[in-house]
Amino acid sequence: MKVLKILTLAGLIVAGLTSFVQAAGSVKGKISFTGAAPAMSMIAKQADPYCAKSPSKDELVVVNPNGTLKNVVVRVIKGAPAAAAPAQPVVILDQNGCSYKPRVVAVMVGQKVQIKNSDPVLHNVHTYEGTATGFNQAMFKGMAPIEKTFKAGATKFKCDVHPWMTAWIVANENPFFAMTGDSGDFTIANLPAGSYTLEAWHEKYGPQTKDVVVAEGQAVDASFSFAAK
Amino acid sequence: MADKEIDPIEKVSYGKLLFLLGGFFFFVSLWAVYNEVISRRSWKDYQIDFNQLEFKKIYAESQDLKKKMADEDKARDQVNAATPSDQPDQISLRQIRLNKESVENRMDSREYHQAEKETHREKIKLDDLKQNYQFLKADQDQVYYEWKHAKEEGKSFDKRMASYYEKDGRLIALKLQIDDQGKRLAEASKVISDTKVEIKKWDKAEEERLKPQKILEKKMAAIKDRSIEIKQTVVDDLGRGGVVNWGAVDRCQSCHVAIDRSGFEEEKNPFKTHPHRTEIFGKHPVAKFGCVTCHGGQGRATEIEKKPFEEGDNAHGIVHHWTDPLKRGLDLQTSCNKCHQDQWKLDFAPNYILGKQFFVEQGCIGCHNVQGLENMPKAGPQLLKIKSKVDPQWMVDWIRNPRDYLPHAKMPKIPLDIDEPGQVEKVASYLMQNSQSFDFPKGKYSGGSAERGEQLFTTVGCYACHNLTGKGGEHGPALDNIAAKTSADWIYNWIQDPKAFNPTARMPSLRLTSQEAADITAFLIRKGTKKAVEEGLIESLENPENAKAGFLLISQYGCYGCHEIKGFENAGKLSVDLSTFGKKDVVELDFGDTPVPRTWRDWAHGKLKDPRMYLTEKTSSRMPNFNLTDVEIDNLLVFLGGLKKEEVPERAVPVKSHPERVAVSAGQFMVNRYNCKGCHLIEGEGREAISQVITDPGFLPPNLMGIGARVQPQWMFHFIKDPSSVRIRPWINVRMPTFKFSDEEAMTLVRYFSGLDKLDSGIVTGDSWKPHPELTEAGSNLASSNYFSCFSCHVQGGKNPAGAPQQWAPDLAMARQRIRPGFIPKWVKDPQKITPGVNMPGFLPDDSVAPKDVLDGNSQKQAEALEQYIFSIGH
Repeated sequence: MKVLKILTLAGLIVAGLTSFVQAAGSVKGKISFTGAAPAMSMIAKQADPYCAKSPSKDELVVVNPNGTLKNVVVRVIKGAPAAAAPAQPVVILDQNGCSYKPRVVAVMVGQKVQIKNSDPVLHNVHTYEGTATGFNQAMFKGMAPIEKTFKAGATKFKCDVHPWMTAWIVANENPFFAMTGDSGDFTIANLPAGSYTLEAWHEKYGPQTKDVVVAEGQAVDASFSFAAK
Repeated sequence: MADKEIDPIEKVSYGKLLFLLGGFFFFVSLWAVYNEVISRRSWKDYQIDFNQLEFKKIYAESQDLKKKMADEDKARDQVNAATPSDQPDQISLRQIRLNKESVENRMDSREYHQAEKETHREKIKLDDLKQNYQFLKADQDQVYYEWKHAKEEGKSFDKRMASYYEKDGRLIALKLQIDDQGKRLAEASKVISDTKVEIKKWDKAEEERLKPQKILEKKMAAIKDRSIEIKQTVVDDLGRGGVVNWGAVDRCQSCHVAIDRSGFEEEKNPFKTHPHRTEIFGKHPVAKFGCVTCHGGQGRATEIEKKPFEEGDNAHGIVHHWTDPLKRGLDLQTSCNKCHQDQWKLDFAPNYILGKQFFVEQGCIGCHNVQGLENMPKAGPQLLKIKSKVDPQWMVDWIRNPRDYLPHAKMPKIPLDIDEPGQVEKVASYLMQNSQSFDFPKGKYSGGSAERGEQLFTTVGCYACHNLTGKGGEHGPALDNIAAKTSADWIYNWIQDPKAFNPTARMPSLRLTSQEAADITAFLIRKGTKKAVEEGLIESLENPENAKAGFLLISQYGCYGCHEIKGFENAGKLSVDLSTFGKKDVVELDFGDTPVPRTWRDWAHGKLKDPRMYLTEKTSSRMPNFNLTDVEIDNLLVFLGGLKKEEVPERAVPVKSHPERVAVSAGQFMVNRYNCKGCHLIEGEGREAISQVITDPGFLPPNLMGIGARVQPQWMFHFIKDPSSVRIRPWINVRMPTFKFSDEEAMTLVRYFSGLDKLDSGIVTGDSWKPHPELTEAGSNLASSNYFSCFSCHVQGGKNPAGAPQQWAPDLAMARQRIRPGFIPKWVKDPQKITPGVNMPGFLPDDSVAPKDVLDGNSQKQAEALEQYIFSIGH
């Protein structure tokens, strides 16, 4: 019975989406990086013997081998249709090897983020909206994951026990967003025809905006470029 | 009737007169009704408008709700089309009604009618059986009686006994039959009862679904029934401070209908909700304080002749000779002085507080008395040993114009030399010749390392009060040109023990060693250069005649208002008392020959901007020009405008009605005076100054939000008295200074912090704490690296945590001496609630995150166990 329910629901969503796609366009682009790529230094984790077992590099700025910038969130901040978005899956943010994995997460406002601790040591999730504390929850060894939702914009995660640990959650008010990975490309699909303002945001280099006009069934290019500082 | 008597006296007919009078009275009555009901009642229109507005609002809300319900139902229908549900909360209203209808339709079916008939039949059968049973039971009772009766009388009773038992058998059989028949009935009527249950279920579902809509409909109906009426508040004891104490009566809410209702924040006046309604009305309920008490205006009036806030606006008191018109803008804060004169922090009257602080801090109070502020400390430093402190040339330059040396100096240019050249030297001469000697108890400066001095100056906390090269606070003087002012010997002595030089000094001791003091002196003495001494200055300062003239000048210009000066110990305030300045009528103010508009505000603004602007040939003034900015003047006017010495009942004055707030308010004064916020976060403010040089938040002095709830009052008392007694965060370089507070002052601060957290400051110690071995063990387990790893950040009995010091937290072994019992359980649950922004995370906000395998996963028990364990550390 339940399976049937899920199947029909999935069917409905797919049907809804396909009817969307027929008339929709998309935005594609690349986030390039100019200037010398900052060196990714090893993080000093010796303070905690457990953490020292998983050496890692500082991922504040990750420039891909093809000269593009990783972990840039591109999202539609103006002009998005008000239509209700399909339910978004729960995203997992893991504290693993004394790092947040992944470091940057893009979600929709109200979308659940499950925060878990895979390490056998104490972490705490101290979030900042600007300089004000959002929440500050201890995540001790073996603790059950917690689920949170986020306000629009960038929320910073810090661990006060392991100060090198940083993560970002960028929440968007509509489902039109993407994030760059190892190729530096991004695609925001299923955008109905219309004009939009895009924002590309990087945790160190901040936001850039661009206006684009999307025509039916077309892929518009909207590349951004960030420069070394 | 024939001999009907004719009036013997009256010969004149009054018909016409009576007719005219009658007509007159008739028209007067008409006019009175018109006047009463229509022409004088514009507030009625407002209420009608408001009711319409509210009705529309709720109507729109109900439409939205309908639409929302329709949308939800659509979604429900869609899901149901795929997977039908019979759960009332998962199907649409239409479906609920259809379901109900289909159930009701069932009642018309043959099956149902058949069931009804059958039920009827079976019911009769059952009733018959029950009746038979009752009859038989009665028979049996009779036989029983006869049997017992026969037995008693010694007669034979065997037959009766047998009959009794025979009936008993039949009764049992009948009972079985009844049960069977009951089952048959239930079976026959099952269709009926099931149908009824189902109808009830759908009825209830429909009702539930329509409930929100019904609530809105009720509200709309209530608005339609609402009568249009004057809404009046009578506050007997809050008079208007006039000649006759009438008590405040106001009818403002007749038009400002929604002032005390939420939901109208975005409307325009008069329908707007009061800004910050919950906070302000929480302490000033309209029913107890009225509106006019704070806002002014003509409370009883309800009329606006033309436009609001123009002449003829009776309701707001904009009419000739009404002395208390509606206060608008910053002026509104002038009302706060009525009841809050003794308080130094008011969230919703920042300009009033700034004005009052400015009045005291800048030394206005030195020359002008204000009732209630008589005992404020003098604004400037004591000048009793001034000769040992400053260079003669610097002193003369300083008095000529302090702001040449310190652009932000509090002391203004005293118009001594403006009035007559050479007067400054005479004043300086008096001060120098009447200075006691200072014997430099710490000895003379004999060199130090400027480099180390700079390091120390940055790390120990000097920047929290002093500005140097554009960095740091502005509580004390900027030190960029300190070498011009004083000597290395003086700095070396002063920074080690400011109170040795000046017992009333605000500057605390940072417990510098003589080496540290020498290093800082070496650093500071390079800041600035001494000016060449003017020719003849030394001789002039040493001339006794000049000192004599200086004495007169000091009394004329009132230097003693701000400074302690020998010979002026008992001098009174130089200028006019301002206790009722806010009440001054325009005719009492001297505008001189100026074209300044004849209002109190314009006069006072002019006087503060240029104290000599109203002078004429016949008048004089010694008030210096403080070069105030317009913002400073605005703030001062808010304070001065409130000085009316109005009588208010004790219940309205927080420091009287809530004595614990006296402590809070006295504490707020001390916190400002000693610049606690230069280093600490208190009541949501502070740490800006120190943050300019200490950028890593891990090395900043602690955030003191919630400190009163956290530490034991007597611990706090001892710590404030002698911060060197214990170092809570030894990894922080900034030093908590020793202020040498009196017991009274230290207690004021303890009461202040306790009061902020709504606690009293009675002695609470950890000694009364009773160990509980089982909980302690559980707590120890929870604190270990198995669970909360408390010692990832907290020092453990002197053993530092592994990470970097920025992340360290106080030694838990100190807890029993320091922390209020009962605090730790609250703290570990959610520290953000007590100290917003603190690095300590919440461990046990609720059971959902509590470890399941300790103390049954009960978060409250676990929190208590942590306290048990933490209090046991080191004992």
